Order: sequence, then C-alpha cells, then structure tokens
Amino acid sequence: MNSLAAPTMLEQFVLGYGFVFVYAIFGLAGFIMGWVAQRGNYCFVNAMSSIYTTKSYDRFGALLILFGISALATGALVAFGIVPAVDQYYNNFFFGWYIIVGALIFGFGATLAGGCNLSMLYRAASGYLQNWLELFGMMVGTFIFAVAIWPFQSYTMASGILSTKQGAYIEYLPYDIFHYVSSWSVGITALLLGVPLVALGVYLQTKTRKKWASFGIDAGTPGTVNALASPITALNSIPTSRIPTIKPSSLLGRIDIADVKNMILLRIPYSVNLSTGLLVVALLMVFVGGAGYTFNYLVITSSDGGRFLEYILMPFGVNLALGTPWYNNALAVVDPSVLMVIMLIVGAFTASLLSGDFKIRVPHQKRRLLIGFLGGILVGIGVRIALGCNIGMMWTNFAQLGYDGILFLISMLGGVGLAIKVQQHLV
Amino acid sequence: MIAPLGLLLFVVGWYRFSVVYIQGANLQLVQQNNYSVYVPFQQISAYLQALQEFTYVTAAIALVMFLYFFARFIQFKRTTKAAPSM
Repeated sequence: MNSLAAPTMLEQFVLGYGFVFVYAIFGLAGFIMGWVAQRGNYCFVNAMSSIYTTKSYDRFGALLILFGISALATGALVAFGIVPAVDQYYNNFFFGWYIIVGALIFGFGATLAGGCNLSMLYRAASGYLQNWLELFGMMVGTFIFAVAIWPFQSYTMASGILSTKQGAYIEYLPYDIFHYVSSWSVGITALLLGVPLVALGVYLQTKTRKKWASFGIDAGTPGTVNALASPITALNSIPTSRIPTIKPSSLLGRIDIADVKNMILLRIPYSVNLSTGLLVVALLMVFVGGAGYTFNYLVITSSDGGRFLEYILMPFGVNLALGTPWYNNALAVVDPSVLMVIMLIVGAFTASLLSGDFKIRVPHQKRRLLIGFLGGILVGIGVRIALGCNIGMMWTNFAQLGYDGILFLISMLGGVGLAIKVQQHLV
Repeated sequence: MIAPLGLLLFVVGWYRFSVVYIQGANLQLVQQNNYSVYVPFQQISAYLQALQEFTYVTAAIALVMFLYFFARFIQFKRTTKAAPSM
C-alpha cells in the first residue's frame, strides 16, 4: 500500500476478465437492485419523509445501516488488500457549494415528485404513471442544467471557487485524517465512519419499533414497515385500518420459516433490513468487479436522467454529445451503468409482475401528474448540480470513505423537510 | 398476460437500438474528433456482447411468464365456462 504523501492514481484490476465481464456484473447488480428495491419498497425519500410525517425512524435507520455497512465492507476489502485503495478513491468527487445546493434541490424535488431515483425507476417499472412523468421531467431538468448551470458550475470547480479543484485522494478520509494511505489508515477510517452509522441506525430502528410495539404494531413482520411507509401514505396520516395487529417487536422481528418461504414465493414484501443487506451485496459486486475498469460504484442518474434523453433524440438525428455543454465533455456515450439501469428496470418489472404488484396506476388527483413532472425537473437539476443522486453520490460516497455523502444527507433531509411543509400547506 | 410481451419488446428493442444508434453516435464523435465522451470500440463491443446475453435470458424469462399467464387464463376461462352448469 502506498504511504507517500501523494497516493498513486493508477487504477488496478481486481478481476482481469475484461469488459464483457464488467458489463455483466453491472447488469446483474442492476437486476438485483431493481428486484430488491421493488420487493422491499425501498425509497430513500420515504425513509426521510417518514421522520417528518409519522415520526418514524425505522427506514431512516435502515439507510444509516446501509451506509455504515457499505463503508465497513469496502473499507475491509481495501484494508485486507483485496481491492487496491486507489480503486476506492480514484473516482471520489469534488467538494463544493454544489453538493449542498444540489442535494437540497434534489430532496425537495424528489419528495414532490414521489420518489428518489431508485424508487422512481422501480415504481415506474411497476406501473406508476406519476413516476414515468418524474423520469421525463428528470431528463428535461438534466438538459436545463447542462445548458444553463453547468458552464458556471464547471468554472467554479476549475477555479476552486467555493470548491475543491480535485477529488480522488483529496476527498478520501483516510488521507485527510492520517495524511497517507495504508491498510491501517483505511481500516481505522472505515471503522470510525461505519460503526457509528450502524449503531445509530440500529438505535433508531429499536426506538421506533418499541414505540410501535406500544401501539400493538409488530414491526418485525415483513410488510408491516412497508404498510407504514408506503409511497401513498408516507405523506399523510396512517389510516388505522392499515395498522396490523398485535405482536411484540424486536429489532430483527420474528425469524419465521413461513415468512422466509413467503418472501421467496413473492407473497410478502422483503423486510427493510433484508433489503438493505441485499443492496450492499449489489454494491460490493460492482465495487470488486468494476475496480480498475470504470466507476466501480452504483450509478443511476447519469443514465436515466442524462443518457436516456440523448438516446431518445438519436433516432431524430440529434446527438447531444456533439455540441451541448456537459453532454459533450462529462458524459460518455455508454458505460456499464447504462446496462445496470436497464436491468434495474427489468428486475423491478419482473418482481412486480411475478408478485402480482404490476398495475398501471394513475393517481386520483390528476394534478399529481404535473407535480411529478415538475418535481422530476427539480430532481434532474438537483442531482446534476450535486454531481450525483442519493445512490451515485450519497450512498456511494460512504463506500468511498469520503465526506460529501454526509453533507448530501444533511442537505437532502433539509430539502425533504421543506417539501413536506410545502405539501402540507398546499393540502 | 400482455405485460411479459412488453418486456420482450423492450429488451429486444433496446438491443437493436444499441446496435444501430449508440454505435452510430459513437462513430460520429470520432468523426468530429470529440474524444472526451467517445467510448473505445473494445468497450462498445463488450457492452453489446453482454447486452445480447442479457437480452436472450430476459426474452426467455418473458416468454415463460407469458406462457404461464396464458395457461392460467385458459384455465380460468374453462372454470368459468363450467361454473354455470354446477
């Protein structure tokens, strides 16, 4: 491991099977993500909005556990020499005003639109028309960012105006704290970052489930948490008819063979912590498989917000990559994340179809379609300003042992809270 | 029952789109000397190869799902036809 002041910037392969294998790994990881997110009703925005609406920290706790385990797992792989440290920090983002501003706009827009980037895709694949409009809005928002904001933002990044001028090891906490990169500096940093996150997440889940238990709700029953944090009710009070009846709760809930069988047969949703674990598996697949080849983390919005608009215009003879800012210098025409997003949609659709969840859903209030589209525009603008979304920036950055993810999380919480206030005022 | 056919159309359509348009757009970038976002031929080939395999697998799953739902539909029709006489 390089312990000099300026760590290496030469990426290295972990698995030397070539790009076909890398694309296949990303595709498989995408399928797993889509399937798991659909079965677990996994939404970052739901998790955060539940704090404001139902005072529930269960899903937010699951997010913290997700971030913490991701940091610990990737840190362990690097600390034990399985993945070179350079493959962990090589693609670390810049830090600047745009992370905070972008995350705020993203949180606000995603809450209005009805889902984060992960849930937008799996709900669109499950038939939610509002989320299709959110996706189109996101493409429009990305274009608006590209022509109106990116020239200014890229200038501030290049000039170091309220911005670092480099990412990589500059944004790498082991280097920032210990001033060099080694097995032990990475390992200690992973522990310092990951353990408190997991502990806080467990604490929040335990606290919430004890509260539910006092109301007679069994939070350990798969499906219970989903009923309490469904996309429809998250922003409204929970109808009492939807609150399941008595069982004592614990952090993990009952470990019931019947529940495991029913989850495999798609009769009941996945529990939030099971979904968290499976999502970490998807992350580690691309972290190891893509190391040395590409951005070896999960990325969604470069494809669904950026490339999909490029692709839609291609049959009409328009190639945005030829002259449009950002498209012509920041977005490769295709990369492994494209296949990841396509298979995410396939995975979510397949899961929803086989479980009987698939249905074309049009909201009763038609104005929600317009709100979804407008929220999607804000999502597109926000994620591009922030250099990524809740998946590609926030969650990824914890796995990168960076600090942008922490700032993104705080700002996104602020944006979600603001959107809740606006919605309550409008309703 | 129709939804699996939609999935089949989607994956096959996406593969054809990638072969025709994504490769074409990449070649345009080379012709215009834009190497910032150009993707080397080796990577595009790898993408198409991996995509082809996923297309085969997904198409097979879609067909199986369609046949399964079709069989259930036929069974349902037979059951409802038999019901009035019971």
